[in-house]
Amino acid sequence: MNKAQEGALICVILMPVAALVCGALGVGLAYVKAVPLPRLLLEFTFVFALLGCAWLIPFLLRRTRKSKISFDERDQLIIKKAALTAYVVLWLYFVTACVIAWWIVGPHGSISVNVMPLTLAGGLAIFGFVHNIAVLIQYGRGARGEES
Amino acid sequence: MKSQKEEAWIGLLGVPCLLIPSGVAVFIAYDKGMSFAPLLMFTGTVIWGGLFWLFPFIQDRFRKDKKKICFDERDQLIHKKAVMASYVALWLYFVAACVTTWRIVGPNGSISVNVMPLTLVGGLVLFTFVQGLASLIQYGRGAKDGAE
Repeated sequence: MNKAQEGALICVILMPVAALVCGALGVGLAYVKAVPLPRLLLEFTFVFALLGCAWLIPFLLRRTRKSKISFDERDQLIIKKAALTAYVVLWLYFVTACVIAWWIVGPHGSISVNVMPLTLAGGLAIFGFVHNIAVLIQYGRGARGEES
Repeated sequence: MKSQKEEAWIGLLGVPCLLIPSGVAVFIAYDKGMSFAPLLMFTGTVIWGGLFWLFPFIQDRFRKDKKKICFDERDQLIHKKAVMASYVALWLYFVAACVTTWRIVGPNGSISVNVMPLTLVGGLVLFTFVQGLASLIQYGRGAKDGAE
């Protein structure tokens, strides 16, 4: 198992849990006013924007480490395909969440504003899960005798 | 002008084609009440709009004339990069939309349920726009002396 596979195996559990915990914690803290809202919003934005784009980190690190090739073209292709797959699932998730809320509540109804950040947290959890599963599947299809 | 570049322009200018049916669906649901027709119209438009980028790949796979290549590897690479950039922009948009709503309304407030489908429509417009723009920028960076 190479480093990317090991990372994906860890992140397939870690990322969804982190997304759901961060989302629920953020909403909970805001609801009970335990933390000032502007600071909480800033942290929430930063964490979620970063986690949603975390798959880009290997590409950025590769640009800074020119001497050692630890992230070759095959790894890049696998990560990109996994990201695309995860984004497609994420889009379908957002469509489903919106349509279900719209259907249940009705066009003249209202919902708690906390539904939106919680939907975002769910989306991030799904993205992380699908992305890492897709990475593991693609690596699994390739050379089975691969070592780190 | 290369056909894929033309399609990028069409995608860029065809944004209203996504806005109109989805906006009409939301309006019909609001005016006449929720029913199957506006729900199907809305769901179909957003799913179709969000996954339309897959169409050139499907078209290329099932083309009858195998000798005629109208979607080569360079086009595929440009298209994929544009889609990735669009999805990253879409994610950041959803984070911004959620946080902005949360900030404006406050954690104890409520919003009209129509905010969710309208956020989705906005995301779709952004996705299509960024995809078209990214495609045009990449084609523009390419061989400027290439025969179109």
